[in-house]
Amino acid sequence: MLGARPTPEQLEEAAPHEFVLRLVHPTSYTGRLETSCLPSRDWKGKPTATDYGPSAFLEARLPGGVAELEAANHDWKRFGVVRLQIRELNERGVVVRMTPMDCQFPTIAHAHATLFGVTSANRDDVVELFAARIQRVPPRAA
Amino acid sequence: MTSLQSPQAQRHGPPTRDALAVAAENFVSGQISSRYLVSANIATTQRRTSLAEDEALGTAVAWTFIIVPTAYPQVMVECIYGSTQTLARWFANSVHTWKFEPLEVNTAPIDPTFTIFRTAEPTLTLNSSRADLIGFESSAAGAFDCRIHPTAGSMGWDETVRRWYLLSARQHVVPAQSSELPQKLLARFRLLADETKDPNWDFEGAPSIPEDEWLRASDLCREALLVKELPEPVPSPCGDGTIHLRWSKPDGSQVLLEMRGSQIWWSYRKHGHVESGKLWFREDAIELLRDKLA
Repeated sequence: MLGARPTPEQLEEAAPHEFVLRLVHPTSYTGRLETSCLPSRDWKGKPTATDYGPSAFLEARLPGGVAELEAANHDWKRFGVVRLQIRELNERGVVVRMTPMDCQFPTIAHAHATLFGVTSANRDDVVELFAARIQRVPPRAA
Repeated sequence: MTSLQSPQAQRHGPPTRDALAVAAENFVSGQISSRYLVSANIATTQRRTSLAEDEALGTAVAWTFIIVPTAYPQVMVECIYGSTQTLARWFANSVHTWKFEPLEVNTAPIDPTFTIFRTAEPTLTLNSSRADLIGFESSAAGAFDCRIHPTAGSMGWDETVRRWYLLSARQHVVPAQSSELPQKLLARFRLLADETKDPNWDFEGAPSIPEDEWLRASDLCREALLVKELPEPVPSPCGDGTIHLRWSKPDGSQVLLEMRGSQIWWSYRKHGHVESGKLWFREDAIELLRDKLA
């Protein structure tokens, strides 16, 4: 049940040639990227009434790039950054759709997207892709 | 042998606070000093509805106590008041694995398929993660969340609720086996608990991961360290509220446990081969680690 929220199919799908940025919490980096960087249990590949899934940001809609994200939320300065071409996600069963309504930070909401289709079955492959495409490694938490 | 039932057990109606306290005290006497007992009640939600439905069917009503290990430094004595059907359901998966002996009761067994038990080895059982199942099982239905134990003692008494939780200082509870966590790992657990104590810690709406959960995860790691040739685990929090524990070996094999409440999802990977499943008991997780990695 999504209530008044649009169904995933009603959301704008990001094109395969575009790039997205995914932020990685420092606790998910231990010298390698942990699977915990990508939640899958709550959604099981399907959106809930309040949440569509893991977040990402469409790079093309962020002229300032990562700096624009960090300006919106200073805490992200200590997060890692993964830059991925959407095509690579699509190949693993993940679809990227625009979800500005789910962004907690108004100045960058227009670039907010959600990764649909992350399940416990494909998560490890997606995290492996993340690890290969990590652009900025977060500091090790401990 | 101490009786588990009070005279209230044969009535259709919640036991009084006094009867409950006396029965609890009897039950735990010799194990937990009654002066530490704190009465508390927790309003139930969905489970309460479920009980009402059972009672409507005319089934008998019983109540019993179960000692459930919680986060240090408390143990919980749980009183379940409900139909035999409900209680039997709760016990269904655990009786055969627990070391029980029939408890001497004041009345005949209520149901031939369900007898009130007490543990033959209370100390061992207090430390058994199998007991967690009973305490946590109902949280899935929204009826009971072990994480609110620390505040339960301050809640008012309400005769209308169907279950009571008596919290006690933990005594005579020495783990059957334990090891010390390496300082570095202990420090990481502390850091992760601090990082995830507030909701939305990942700015994606992640639920907070309470310290209780971290304690349970660190307990499991502590036990796992006793398994020979097992590598040191790597804990990390996930935005879906689970705690991930990873064990990796140089040969590429890896076991990942994802824990939340009493549930443990596991996966094993080696050279592209993947197995996965779900566990309910900490002992089974240890056995899995031993089987796959040791």
